[in-house]
Amino acid sequence: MTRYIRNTIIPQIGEAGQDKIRAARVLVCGAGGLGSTVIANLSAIGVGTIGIVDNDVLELSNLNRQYIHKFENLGKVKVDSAKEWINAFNPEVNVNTYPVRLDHENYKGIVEDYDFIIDCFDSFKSKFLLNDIATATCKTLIHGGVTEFGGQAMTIFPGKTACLRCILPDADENLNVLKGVVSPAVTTIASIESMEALKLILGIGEPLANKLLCYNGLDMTFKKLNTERNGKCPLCKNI
Amino acid sequence: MSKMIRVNGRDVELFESGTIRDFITERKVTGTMFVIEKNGKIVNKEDYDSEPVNEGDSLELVGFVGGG
Repeated sequence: MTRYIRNTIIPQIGEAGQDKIRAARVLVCGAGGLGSTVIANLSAIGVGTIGIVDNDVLELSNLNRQYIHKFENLGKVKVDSAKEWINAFNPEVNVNTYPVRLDHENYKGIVEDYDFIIDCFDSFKSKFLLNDIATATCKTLIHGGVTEFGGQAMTIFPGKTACLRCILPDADENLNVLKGVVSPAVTTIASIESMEALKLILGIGEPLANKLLCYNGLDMTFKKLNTERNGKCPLCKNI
Repeated sequence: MSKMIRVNGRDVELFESGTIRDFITERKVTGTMFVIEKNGKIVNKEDYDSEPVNEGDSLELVGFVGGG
Protein backbone atom coordinates (compact mmCIF):
# COMPACT_ATOMS: atom_id res chain seq x y z
CA MET A 1 0.00 0.00 0.00
CA THR A 2 3.04 2.28 -0.04
CA ARG A 3 2.03 3.42 -3.47
CA TYR A 4 -1.20 4.94 -2.15
CA ILE A 5 -0.09 6.14 1.26
CA ARG A 6 -0.64 9.78 0.33
CA ASN A 7 -4.21 8.78 -0.45
CA THR A 8 -4.81 6.66 2.60
CA ILE A 9 -3.48 9.13 5.16
CA ILE A 10 -6.36 11.41 4.20
CA PRO A 11 -9.01 10.72 6.84
CA GLN A 12 -11.87 10.64 4.30
CA ILE A 13 -10.06 7.92 2.34
CA GLY A 14 -8.08 5.58 4.59
CA GLU A 15 -7.65 1.90 3.79
CA ALA A 16 -11.39 1.41 3.38
CA GLY A 17 -11.60 4.24 0.87
CA GLN A 18 -8.65 2.88 -1.08
CA ASP A 19 -10.44 -0.47 -1.25
CA LYS A 20 -13.43 1.34 -2.77
CA ILE A 21 -11.15 2.99 -5.31
CA ARG A 22 -9.60 -0.35 -6.18
CA ALA A 23 -13.04 -1.91 -6.62
CA ALA A 24 -14.29 0.92 -8.83
CA ARG A 25 -15.05 0.36 -12.51
CA VAL A 26 -15.04 3.56 -14.54
CA LEU A 27 -15.79 4.00 -18.23
CA VAL A 28 -13.84 6.81 -19.90
CA CYS A 29 -15.39 7.82 -23.22
CA GLY A 30 -12.66 9.44 -25.26
CA ALA A 31 -8.89 8.96 -25.01
CA GLY A 32 -7.95 12.37 -26.34
CA GLY A 33 -7.41 15.62 -24.44
CA LEU A 34 -9.85 15.24 -21.55
CA GLY A 35 -9.26 11.51 -21.61
CA SER A 36 -5.51 11.86 -21.15
CA THR A 37 -5.80 13.67 -17.84
CA VAL A 38 -8.79 11.64 -16.62
CA ILE A 39 -6.98 8.38 -17.42
CA ALA A 40 -3.79 9.64 -15.76
CA ASN A 41 -5.67 10.74 -12.63
CA LEU A 42 -7.73 7.57 -12.31
CA SER A 43 -4.61 5.45 -12.76
CA ALA A 44 -2.72 7.50 -10.18
CA ILE A 45 -5.38 7.23 -7.49
CA GLY A 46 -5.60 3.48 -8.08
CA VAL A 47 -8.95 2.89 -9.78
CA GLY A 48 -9.16 -0.86 -10.24
CA THR A 49 -10.76 -1.07 -13.67
CA ILE A 50 -10.78 1.54 -16.40
CA GLY A 51 -12.68 1.06 -19.64
CA ILE A 52 -11.70 3.28 -22.56
CA VAL A 53 -13.85 3.91 -25.62
CA ASP A 54 -12.36 5.62 -28.67
CA ASN A 55 -12.07 4.69 -32.33
CA ASP A 56 -9.59 7.38 -33.33
CA VAL A 57 -5.96 6.91 -34.23
CA LEU A 58 -3.28 9.20 -32.85
CA GLU A 59 -2.41 12.19 -35.03
CA LEU A 60 0.41 14.69 -34.70
CA SER A 61 -2.03 17.57 -34.06
CA ASN A 62 -3.29 15.74 -30.95
CA LEU A 63 0.01 16.11 -29.15
CA ASN A 64 -0.44 19.73 -28.06
CA ARG A 65 -2.59 18.33 -25.23
CA GLN A 66 -2.93 14.54 -25.33
CA TYR A 67 0.14 13.91 -23.27
CA ILE A 68 -0.28 10.24 -22.35
CA HIS A 69 0.34 9.34 -25.98
CA LYS A 70 3.89 8.98 -27.16
CA PHE A 71 5.22 10.47 -30.39
CA GLU A 72 6.22 7.00 -31.53
CA ASN A 73 2.56 5.93 -31.28
CA LEU A 74 1.41 8.21 -34.11
CA GLY A 75 -0.99 6.22 -36.28
CA LYS A 76 -1.79 3.80 -33.48
CA VAL A 77 -5.33 3.36 -32.13
CA LYS A 78 -5.64 5.70 -29.14
CA VAL A 79 -7.12 3.11 -26.80
CA ASP A 80 -4.05 0.89 -27.33
CA SER A 81 -1.72 3.83 -26.82
CA ALA A 82 -3.60 4.78 -23.63
CA LYS A 83 -3.46 1.21 -22.34
CA GLU A 84 0.26 1.16 -22.97
CA TRP A 85 0.66 4.28 -20.82
CA ILE A 86 -1.46 2.90 -17.99
CA ASN A 87 0.37 -0.44 -17.97
CA ALA A 88 3.71 1.35 -17.73
CA PHE A 89 2.54 3.74 -15.01
CA ASN A 90 0.38 1.49 -12.84
CA PRO A 91 0.24 -2.19 -13.79
CA GLU A 92 -2.31 -2.81 -11.01
CA VAL A 93 -5.01 -1.16 -13.10
CA ASN A 94 -7.14 -3.44 -15.25
CA VAL A 95 -7.75 -1.83 -18.64
CA ASN A 96 -10.52 -2.72 -21.06
CA THR A 97 -10.35 -1.12 -24.48
CA TYR A 98 -13.18 -0.53 -26.94
CA PRO A 99 -11.85 0.75 -30.30
CA VAL A 100 -15.35 1.55 -31.57
CA ARG A 101 -17.46 4.60 -32.31
CA LEU A 102 -20.10 4.44 -29.60
CA ASP A 103 -23.65 4.47 -30.94
CA HIS A 104 -27.22 3.76 -29.93
CA GLU A 105 -26.72 0.04 -30.49
CA ASN A 106 -23.26 -1.00 -29.38
CA TYR A 107 -23.33 0.75 -25.99
CA LYS A 108 -25.38 -2.07 -24.50
CA GLY A 109 -22.46 -4.44 -24.34
CA ILE A 110 -20.13 -1.84 -22.88
CA VAL A 111 -21.78 0.56 -20.44
CA GLU A 112 -23.41 -2.05 -18.20
CA ASP A 113 -20.04 -3.25 -16.93
CA TYR A 114 -19.19 0.06 -15.29
CA ASP A 115 -20.22 2.03 -12.21
CA PHE A 116 -20.39 5.35 -14.04
CA ILE A 117 -19.28 7.15 -17.20
CA ILE A 118 -16.94 10.07 -17.79
CA ASP A 119 -17.51 12.18 -20.90
CA CYS A 120 -14.20 12.91 -22.58
CA PHE A 121 -15.62 12.94 -26.11
CA ASP A 122 -14.83 15.79 -28.46
CA SER A 123 -18.05 16.78 -30.23
CA PHE A 124 -21.52 17.98 -29.33
CA LYS A 125 -22.96 15.00 -31.14
CA SER A 126 -21.03 12.45 -29.12
CA LYS A 127 -21.62 14.30 -25.84
CA PHE A 128 -25.38 14.35 -26.34
CA LEU A 129 -25.28 10.70 -27.43
CA LEU A 130 -23.53 9.88 -24.17
CA ASN A 131 -26.11 11.91 -22.25
CA ASP A 132 -28.84 9.81 -23.91
CA ILE A 133 -27.04 6.54 -23.19
CA ALA A 134 -26.52 7.48 -19.56
CA THR A 135 -30.20 8.28 -19.23
CA ALA A 136 -31.25 5.04 -20.95
CA THR A 137 -29.04 2.98 -18.63
CA CYS A 138 -29.48 5.15 -15.51
CA LYS A 139 -25.71 5.46 -15.24
CA THR A 140 -24.25 8.53 -13.60
CA LEU A 141 -22.48 10.70 -16.17
CA ILE A 142 -19.70 13.15 -15.46
CA HIS A 143 -19.79 15.63 -18.33
CA GLY A 144 -16.96 17.87 -19.46
CA GLY A 145 -16.40 20.08 -22.49
CA VAL A 146 -13.59 22.42 -23.53
CA THR A 147 -12.72 24.96 -26.19
CA GLU A 148 -9.88 27.46 -26.46
CA PHE A 149 -9.16 28.71 -22.91
CA GLY A 150 -12.05 27.29 -20.92
CA GLY A 151 -14.84 24.80 -20.57
CA GLN A 152 -17.57 23.39 -18.41
CA ALA A 153 -18.37 20.39 -16.25
CA MET A 154 -21.51 18.90 -14.73
CA THR A 155 -22.45 15.64 -13.05
CA ILE A 156 -25.72 14.05 -14.12
CA PHE A 157 -27.77 11.58 -12.09
CA PRO A 158 -30.35 10.50 -14.67
CA GLY A 159 -33.90 10.97 -13.52
CA LYS A 160 -32.75 12.87 -10.45
CA THR A 161 -30.83 15.90 -11.68
CA ALA A 162 -30.67 18.04 -14.80
CA CYS A 163 -29.27 16.37 -17.93
CA LEU A 164 -27.70 18.14 -20.91
CA ARG A 165 -31.02 18.22 -22.74
CA CYS A 166 -32.72 19.83 -19.74
CA ILE A 167 -30.53 22.89 -20.16
CA LEU A 168 -30.10 22.69 -23.95
CA PRO A 169 -33.32 21.18 -25.34
CA ASP A 170 -32.66 22.90 -28.67
CA ALA A 171 -29.02 21.84 -28.92
CA ASP A 172 -27.46 22.02 -32.34
CA GLU A 173 -25.63 18.73 -32.03
CA ASN A 174 -24.19 18.83 -35.52
CA LEU A 175 -22.41 22.11 -34.90
CA ASN A 176 -18.75 21.80 -35.83
CA VAL A 177 -16.56 22.33 -32.79
CA LEU A 178 -13.20 22.08 -34.49
CA LYS A 179 -11.75 25.03 -32.63
CA GLY A 180 -8.45 25.45 -30.94
CA VAL A 181 -7.89 24.37 -27.38
CA VAL A 182 -4.88 24.61 -25.11
CA SER A 183 -3.64 21.94 -22.77
CA PRO A 184 -4.10 23.90 -19.50
CA ALA A 185 -7.80 24.39 -20.27
CA VAL A 186 -8.25 20.71 -21.06
CA THR A 187 -6.37 19.49 -18.01
CA THR A 188 -8.31 21.84 -15.73
CA ILE A 189 -11.71 20.54 -16.80
CA ALA A 190 -10.44 16.95 -16.89
CA SER A 191 -9.12 17.31 -13.34
CA ILE A 192 -12.54 18.55 -12.24
CA GLU A 193 -14.11 15.50 -13.87
CA SER A 194 -11.55 13.31 -12.11
CA MET A 195 -12.34 14.86 -8.73
CA GLU A 196 -16.03 14.28 -9.35
CA ALA A 197 -15.21 10.63 -10.07
CA LEU A 198 -13.22 10.25 -6.86
CA LYS A 199 -16.06 11.79 -4.82
CA LEU A 200 -18.56 9.42 -6.42
CA ILE A 201 -16.39 6.40 -5.65
CA LEU A 202 -15.88 7.43 -2.04
CA GLY A 203 -19.38 8.81 -1.50
CA ILE A 204 -18.05 12.05 -0.08
CA GLY A 205 -18.40 15.75 -0.84
CA GLU A 206 -20.93 17.55 -3.00
CA PRO A 207 -21.13 16.50 -6.65
CA LEU A 208 -21.75 19.02 -9.42
CA ALA A 209 -25.35 17.88 -9.58
CA ASN A 210 -27.72 20.56 -10.81
CA LYS A 211 -24.65 22.75 -11.16
CA LEU A 212 -22.97 23.73 -14.41
CA LEU A 213 -19.42 24.71 -13.54
CA CYS A 214 -18.01 27.12 -16.13
CA TYR A 215 -14.30 27.86 -16.29
CA ASN A 216 -12.73 30.81 -18.09
CA GLY A 217 -8.96 30.57 -18.03
CA LEU A 218 -8.41 34.09 -19.37
CA ASP A 219 -10.36 35.75 -16.54
CA MET A 220 -9.40 32.86 -14.23
CA THR A 221 -12.99 32.61 -13.10
CA PHE A 222 -15.08 29.62 -12.08
CA LYS A 223 -18.84 30.12 -12.07
CA LYS A 224 -21.34 27.58 -10.82
CA LEU A 225 -24.67 28.08 -12.57
CA ASN A 226 -27.70 26.60 -10.86
CA THR A 227 -29.67 24.19 -13.02
CA GLU A 228 -32.64 21.98 -12.34
CA ARG A 229 -34.58 19.30 -14.16
CA ASN A 230 -36.69 20.70 -16.95
CA GLY A 231 -40.27 19.44 -16.95
CA LYS A 232 -40.25 19.84 -20.73
CA CYS A 233 -36.94 18.04 -21.30
CA PRO A 234 -37.26 16.06 -24.55
CA LEU A 235 -35.25 13.23 -22.99
CA CYS A 236 -35.82 12.80 -19.27
CA LYS A 237 -39.14 14.50 -18.49
CA ASN A 238 -40.88 11.13 -18.07
CA ILE A 239 -38.36 9.30 -15.93
CA MET B 1 -36.41 53.75 -21.51
CA SER B 2 -33.13 52.09 -20.69
CA LYS B 3 -32.37 49.91 -17.70
CA MET B 4 -29.21 48.87 -15.94
CA ILE B 5 -28.52 45.21 -15.29
CA ARG B 6 -25.46 43.06 -14.59
CA VAL B 7 -24.21 40.77 -17.34
CA ASN B 8 -21.38 38.40 -16.47
CA GLY B 9 -20.46 40.61 -13.54
CA ARG B 10 -20.42 43.89 -15.45
CA ASP B 11 -22.90 46.77 -15.52
CA VAL B 12 -24.73 46.91 -18.84
CA GLU B 13 -27.31 49.39 -20.10
CA LEU B 14 -30.14 47.84 -22.08
CA PHE B 15 -32.59 49.69 -24.29
CA GLU B 16 -34.93 47.12 -25.79
CA SER B 17 -34.83 44.14 -23.49
CA GLY B 18 -38.19 43.42 -21.93
CA THR B 19 -37.62 39.67 -21.97
CA ILE B 20 -34.73 37.24 -22.18
CA ARG B 21 -35.52 36.82 -25.89
CA ASP B 22 -35.20 40.58 -26.36
CA PHE B 23 -31.93 40.52 -24.44
CA ILE B 24 -30.54 37.84 -26.77
CA THR B 25 -31.57 39.89 -29.80
CA GLU B 26 -30.19 43.15 -28.41
CA ARG B 27 -26.88 41.49 -27.53
CA LYS B 28 -26.76 39.81 -30.97
CA VAL B 29 -26.36 36.33 -29.47
CA THR B 30 -26.62 33.70 -32.20
CA GLY B 31 -27.00 29.93 -32.26
CA THR B 32 -28.40 27.72 -29.53
CA MET B 33 -25.36 26.50 -27.63
CA PHE B 34 -25.51 28.83 -24.66
CA VAL B 35 -27.26 29.07 -21.34
CA ILE B 36 -28.49 32.09 -19.42
CA GLU B 37 -28.72 32.28 -15.68
CA LYS B 38 -30.91 34.99 -14.20
CA ASN B 39 -30.47 35.91 -10.57
CA GLY B 40 -28.91 32.58 -9.70
CA LYS B 41 -31.07 30.19 -11.72
CA ILE B 42 -30.76 28.98 -15.31
CA VAL B 43 -33.70 30.12 -17.41
CA ASN B 44 -35.37 27.33 -19.37
CA LYS B 45 -35.11 27.94 -23.09
CA GLU B 46 -38.87 27.53 -23.41
CA ASP B 47 -39.31 30.55 -21.17
CA TYR B 48 -37.12 33.00 -23.08
CA ASP B 49 -40.12 34.73 -24.66
CA SER B 50 -41.85 35.34 -21.36
CA GLU B 51 -39.11 35.65 -18.76
CA PRO B 52 -38.75 39.37 -17.97
CA VAL B 53 -35.51 41.28 -17.65
CA ASN B 54 -35.89 43.92 -14.98
CA GLU B 55 -33.79 46.78 -13.69
CA GLY B 56 -31.06 45.42 -11.45
CA ASP B 57 -31.27 41.81 -12.66
CA SER B 58 -28.05 39.83 -12.79
CA LEU B 59 -27.58 37.65 -15.87
CA GLU B 60 -24.85 35.16 -16.70
CA LEU B 61 -24.56 34.35 -20.39
CA VAL B 62 -22.32 31.33 -20.90
CA GLY B 63 -21.43 29.47 -24.07
CA PHE B 64 -21.63 25.69 -23.96
CA VAL B 65 -18.56 24.14 -25.55
CA GLY B 66 -18.13 20.70 -27.03
CA GLY B 67 -14.44 20.02 -27.42
CA GLY B 68 -12.59 17.30 -25.63
